[in-house]
Order: sequence, then C-alpha cells, then structure tokens
Amino acid sequence: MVEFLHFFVKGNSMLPALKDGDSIKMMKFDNNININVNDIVVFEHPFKKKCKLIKRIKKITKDNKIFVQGDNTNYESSNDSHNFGYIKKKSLIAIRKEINEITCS
Amino acid sequence: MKKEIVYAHCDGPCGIYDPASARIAAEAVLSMTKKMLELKVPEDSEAMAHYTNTMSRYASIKEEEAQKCKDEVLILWTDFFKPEHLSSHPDLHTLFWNTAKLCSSCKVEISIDHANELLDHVHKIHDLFWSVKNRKIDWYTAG
Repeated sequence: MVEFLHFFVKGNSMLPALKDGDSIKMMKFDNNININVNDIVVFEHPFKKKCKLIKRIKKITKDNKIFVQGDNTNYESSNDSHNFGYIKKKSLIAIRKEINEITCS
Repeated sequence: MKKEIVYAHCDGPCGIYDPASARIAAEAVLSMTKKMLELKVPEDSEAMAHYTNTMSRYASIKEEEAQKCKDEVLILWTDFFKPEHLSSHPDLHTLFWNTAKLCSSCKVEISIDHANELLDHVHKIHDLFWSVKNRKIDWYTAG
C-alpha cells in the first residue's frame, strides 16, 4: 500500500512548478519505486543536518547516483547538485512522478 | 496530517544584507572629495611634501571607498534582489547600473556633483531595499 507524506514548500527555486508556501502530497519513497528523470523528490541534504530539500531529478547515473536541480533557472543561488553534487538513492524520502498531478493549496 | 517543511532553496550565504555598508562608503567618498577640494597648495617646499602626502592619502581613501561602495551595491544587486522584484520595480536594473557607474566616476574624478549624486542613488537603493523587505527604516547619514 502506498503511503503518502505531506510537505510545506519553503523557497522559490522550484518555480513555476512549486512556489513558496505551497503544500504538496508525495509518495513515501521505498526501493520498489522506480525513479526517473523529471520526478520531483524530497531528500536529505547531503551535509546539512535537519535540512530536507525538494528538487527535480535531472540525471541518473548507471551506479544510481542522482543529479537534482531546481526548476527556476533564474534563481541565482539555488542550492542543488551544482553545489552539493550527486545525491544517493538512499537519501530519498518522497517522490512525485508526474508534475501535472500536483495540486497546490 | 502533519506537514513537514521542505526547502526548495536551502541558502548557502549568510542572508544578511543592508545598504548601510554602501551608504557609509558613499559618505566617505563625498567627505574625501570635499577634503581634496578644500586643500590649499602650499608655497614652501617643505610644506609641499606634507601637502602631497595628505592629498595622496585623501585620493587613496576616496578610491578605496568608491570601490567598496561599488562592491556593496553589486552584492545587493546580484545576490539580494531577485527576478520577482523586477516586476514591481522595473527601474531596478537602471538604478543599480547608474549607481555602479557613479562609483567608477567618483573613483577617478574629484567631483562634488557626482559624489552627491552617488549618495542620492544609495538613498534610493536604501528605500527600494527596505520597501522590498516591508520594513520602514528611515534614511540617515553619519556625516
């Protein structure tokens, strides 16, 4: 059975898909779920304690490392894989497969 | 159901910005410009050495502060202000571009007009900055 998690988005680096203050429901991640480019994921920041980030998967390597990036290309200081490098699959907490399904409140 | 916070933007920089740094530097530029123009050329050669030393120091400080002002203004422009601010303040780029140009002018010239103009521009940046932050901070000068 799929378990869902609810998140409150802070920041605008995922514009236009998600804006500051949006609420989003996402599937709790487990290893049975396939990950693909363009999926939106919540994950633990690689080296900041208690910091969960939400980004979009841009690239997946053969050894399952994931490159994540914000949607907002104008956002000068988006903190993503450009800064902290590839993330590991085990750091994923939640996933959203289709951007069109997102309902914000 | 409990909603956990997730950061779309987990900021690296300290996030502390204040146009006061630019204001202090712009005031210093104006002050040094005035001091340079007020300095009188001495008649005897011994005093000339002191005059040259003083004038050099004034010029050096003026250039240093003009560059400092430019650096502070550019940090606000490129780090603090975001594309979304442009829609509500369409003259934002022009204001910052002209201010940076004035810093350069004040660095190479001895112009009271440009030094005053620079401080006026920093005043406008002060007003813009605090309006974006929805805070009422009165403009003041130290000099």
